[in-house]
Amino acid sequence: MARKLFEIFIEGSGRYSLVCSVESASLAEFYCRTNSVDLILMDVCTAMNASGLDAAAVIKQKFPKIRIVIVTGQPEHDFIRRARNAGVESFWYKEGDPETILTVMDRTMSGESIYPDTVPTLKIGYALSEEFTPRELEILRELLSGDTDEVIAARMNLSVWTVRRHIQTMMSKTGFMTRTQLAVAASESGLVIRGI
Amino acid sequence: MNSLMELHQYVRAALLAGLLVLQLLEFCAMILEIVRQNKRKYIPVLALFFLINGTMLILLAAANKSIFLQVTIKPYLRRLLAMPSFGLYLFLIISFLYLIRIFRQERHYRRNSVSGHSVKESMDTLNAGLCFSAGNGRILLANHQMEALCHRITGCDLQDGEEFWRVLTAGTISGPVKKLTGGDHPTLLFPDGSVWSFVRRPMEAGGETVQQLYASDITELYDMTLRLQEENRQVADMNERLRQYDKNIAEMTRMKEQLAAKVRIHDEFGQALLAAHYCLAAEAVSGADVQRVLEAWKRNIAVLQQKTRPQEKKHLMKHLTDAAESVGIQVVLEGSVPEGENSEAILAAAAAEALTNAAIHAKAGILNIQLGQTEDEWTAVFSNNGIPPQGEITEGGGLGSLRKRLEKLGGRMEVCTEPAFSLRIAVPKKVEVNSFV
Repeated sequence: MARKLFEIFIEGSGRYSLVCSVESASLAEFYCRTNSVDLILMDVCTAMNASGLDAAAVIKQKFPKIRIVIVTGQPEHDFIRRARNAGVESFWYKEGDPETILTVMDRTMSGESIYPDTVPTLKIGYALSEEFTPRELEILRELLSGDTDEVIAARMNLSVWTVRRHIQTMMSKTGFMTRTQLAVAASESGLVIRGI
Repeated sequence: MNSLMELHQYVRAALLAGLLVLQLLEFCAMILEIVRQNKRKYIPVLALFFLINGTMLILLAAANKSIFLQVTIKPYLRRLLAMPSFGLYLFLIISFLYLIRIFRQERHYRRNSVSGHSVKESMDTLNAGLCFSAGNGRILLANHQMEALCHRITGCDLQDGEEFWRVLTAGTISGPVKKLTGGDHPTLLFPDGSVWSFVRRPMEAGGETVQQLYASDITELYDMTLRLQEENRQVADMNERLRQYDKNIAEMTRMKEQLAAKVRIHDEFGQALLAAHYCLAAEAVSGADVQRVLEAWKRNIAVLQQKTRPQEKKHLMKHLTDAAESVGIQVVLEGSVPEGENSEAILAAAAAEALTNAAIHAKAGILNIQLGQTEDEWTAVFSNNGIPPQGEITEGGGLGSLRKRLEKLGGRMEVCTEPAFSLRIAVPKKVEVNSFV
């Protein structure tokens, strides 16, 4: 849901009062410091390339009492793990109806931690997203950079042979003929996102 | 058996002719063997036959002379002429057979040995062009292909190897032939689409330096190279689109969500209409149902009100000034915001840190931002008019994380505490495209 829609639903619920609504997560900490905030609905991909997950991690460190619900429309597989590692209370995919977000907020405020059971399944070529191993997904994320295998291997502290092997395996699974096709499909599906 | 003297005149004439032919053939065979310098064992035999043949020729000629001219011949000649003609016949047969053998061997040798002609012939069957020239350019050997290439390139016959090479490497080629590369490995494109590559190297032959010029048809390789270049260009385009997509992920996500929201709003309006219609048409409706319908309409109206307000895309400074104004801080900006997603992102992070410091620690009323640039980097200096820091500043989560991000991009950060707090950052302009912050 768009941010404005969120604002309307939440304010209309009568259960919460909106302190502020910001486009970029880079200012989240500032608003937490200058306002009395109980709960944050934090998107992951925010304006000016600011990562909501990184901002959430900082806020949980400095303001442990503020509860955070990560909301995202991106099915990136690693967001849930990073949210848990950051200590975020809840995680919600935006596809549901507006009542769901209010329920998630209520349950989070009451002390529950709500996370999806699984990451949404995506189809990449002939393969499903759960067929990829965590390492393969890491390398797939790096493929989005368009860099050569040597550069990717250096960045990930792996051998070039290992990187190439994983890429070949993914191409076999998906049926794509080139790594670029694989990277484009992965990027467009939202399976992996780089830079957040 | 008749003696030589008793032979019929026609038989003698025939024998004489045969001996003459034999003499000639033996002479030719001897010359051949001598020239070939091979199988010298045949030469003595041939010489012997030649002598015997010559003797028989003289004897028969003497016999004819004595018979036709009634001349008295010497007694030893007469004794020789008295020998049976069988010997002569035998000699003739053996000589002919021997010569046939020699000439067959010669033919076999010529067919299976490499001579100058065979070298030329085999060169002319090559697809490649080949030319050997002396140091002064004189053509020693050239095949048809090279001669044809020279004609197509220069319009003239191949007569000077040095001049031809000069035209290939450094000279201009007029006409439809196009030079793709010059230098030591010239490559030419011909009007029929064929591409030829030329290579020259010196070699030693007979104590003399000979230049070998080799031309190969690389049309298929050239076409494959062009196709590969085109594919690489397409891949580079796709890579660039991928990078752009990645850079604009936030914006594209926002647009996707907006579209989904519009669809949802459309559906909700429909549902609200149906619900309202139900409430109005029903005889009895519970208060809770009416309340739900009213809330739905309130939401939809609020959404409509939002939609009628223009949604402007906020830039970095608008975000910052809105945030600063919320706590009563005025932002004073000098300079222009840098272009580029990575530069703007890091500047936003630094500005947020500076604003937080100005609001929480310095209790400032003004946040100054000075933006500048050099040839290689964007610079920003943040300062405020608030309370200066007391003592050294420990770089905690915010400043520490900002420093790491800057250093990852090849930038730098400096925090000054005297005379007042200031935060200085520098971001390289040519940031590695894939170094996301």
